Amino acid sequence: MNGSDTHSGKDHLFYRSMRFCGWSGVAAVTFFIIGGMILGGMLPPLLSPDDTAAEFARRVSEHVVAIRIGSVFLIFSFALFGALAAGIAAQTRRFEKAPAFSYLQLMFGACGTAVAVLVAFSWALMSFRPDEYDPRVVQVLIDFAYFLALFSVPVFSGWCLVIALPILFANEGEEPFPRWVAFFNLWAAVLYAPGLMILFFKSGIFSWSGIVALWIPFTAFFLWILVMSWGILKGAESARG
Amino acid sequence: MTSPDTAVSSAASERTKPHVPGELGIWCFVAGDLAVFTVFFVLIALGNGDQAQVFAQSRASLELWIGVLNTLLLLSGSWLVATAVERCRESVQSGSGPDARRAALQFALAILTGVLFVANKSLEWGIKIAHGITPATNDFFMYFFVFTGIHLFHVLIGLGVLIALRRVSRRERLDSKALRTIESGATFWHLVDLLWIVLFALFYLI
Amino acid sequence: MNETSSPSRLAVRPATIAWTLLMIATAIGWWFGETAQGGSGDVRLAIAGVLITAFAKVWLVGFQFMELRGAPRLLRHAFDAWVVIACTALIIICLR
Repeated sequence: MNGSDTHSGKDHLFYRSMRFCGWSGVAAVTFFIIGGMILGGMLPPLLSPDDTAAEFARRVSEHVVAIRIGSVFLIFSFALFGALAAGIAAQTRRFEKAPAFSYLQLMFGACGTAVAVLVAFSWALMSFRPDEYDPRVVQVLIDFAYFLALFSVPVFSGWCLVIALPILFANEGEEPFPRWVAFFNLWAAVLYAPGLMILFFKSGIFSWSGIVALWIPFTAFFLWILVMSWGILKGAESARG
Repeated sequence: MTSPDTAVSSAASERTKPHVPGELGIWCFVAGDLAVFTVFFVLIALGNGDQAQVFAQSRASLELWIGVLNTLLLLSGSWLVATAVERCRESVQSGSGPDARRAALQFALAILTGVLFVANKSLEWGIKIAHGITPATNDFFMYFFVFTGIHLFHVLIGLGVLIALRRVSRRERLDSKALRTIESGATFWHLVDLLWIVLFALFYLI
Repeated sequence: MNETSSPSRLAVRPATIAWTLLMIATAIGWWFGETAQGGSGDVRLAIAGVLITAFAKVWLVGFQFMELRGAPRLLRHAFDAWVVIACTALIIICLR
């Protein structure tokens, strides 16, 4: 088989970096709850795609301080996605001889992090001068933020898929994460799919403020972060020196 | 042909040992998907309450026979898959081939029911769209097209799964790992059937 | 008690019995549906009938086809609970 199996040795540096990656995921969720949910008005959505541009400008001006502070938390949260991505890929890499799925995971994770960071930029920008910008610009910035977050299904679902596949293809006992994590990723991948519908609906449950297109993907995504964080922390244990 | 000893001991162990069909992971997926679809079912029912007139009129314009046919197709597909899985299991236990070859045929027939379902649904949608009825027409049709569309997506994945299961069932020798894969795939297919039963009731019957 | 592993010497497989019941249940549900939309007769009862029939079918698919009858009790009872809760919730909402 292989003279050097990379996944069972003690490696204290690996252990500590993985602990960082795993806890980054938890931090990301926490910062999102503060920045996106409590302060920023992202979830539950402050506005709706069928509100008028004037309404957008008015509401944002009304909550401008909370949105600004929330945006700071959001950028921290989304930046940490990168650490989560690295942790997942590193754990997968331990069980590969030559890099394969781990590289795919890095690419999808990097893309996902970039998309998420843009969401935070957009959120912050919208609160920079809401009463000076043309109200339609404010509206576009929120539309842009939600489209980045929700319409990016192939990126995030693809990420879940390339996490699930190496687990399912692995030999018994040689999986980077427990097998149920693979099925969880497949479930999450399917749940992000309704995000594509926001392009076709400006009101109702399939719009970017709707239950099906907003709440379900976001809920699945943040649960996914917690599950993967746990997976990274658990996977790190075997390297503990 | 099972020898008396293995038949008795396997029968006894089947009776006494509870067995998770497939693996835990597929049941996590099933539970998750069921949870989300339950939210969908509630949304449809709530919409029904809010806009009873619109829903009643729109529902009346659906072709009931198409829905019934689709239900019968999926139920039959599930029956075929369930018996195929049983034959595969018998083949694993007896170590012989013929059972599993019947299973391959049954998987093929199940795939046929799935293909007919897709064709039937496409026909239904085609007729509606030709009459100018689209997801944008009213809330009933928005829910109808989108939720049966999400279900259709599941059917298509299910067809892929069945094709893979048929390939596995045609192997020379089936081991317990292959059986586990077959059971997992079958569980997904039954989920697809199960979801349609409720969608059918909510869209066509009530 | 029929084990799922018994050879096809059995007169009818349990799965086939289940299929037959499901066909009948579909017809019953259809009949309830006609009543619910026709308006002649108790519409509310018919709606409940449609849902109960549907979830009876769902339960049978889980119990027999998905082999929950031989599964660990926790899994089986979780499914049973979901069937009852979902059916009840939908009936309550539809009959509001």
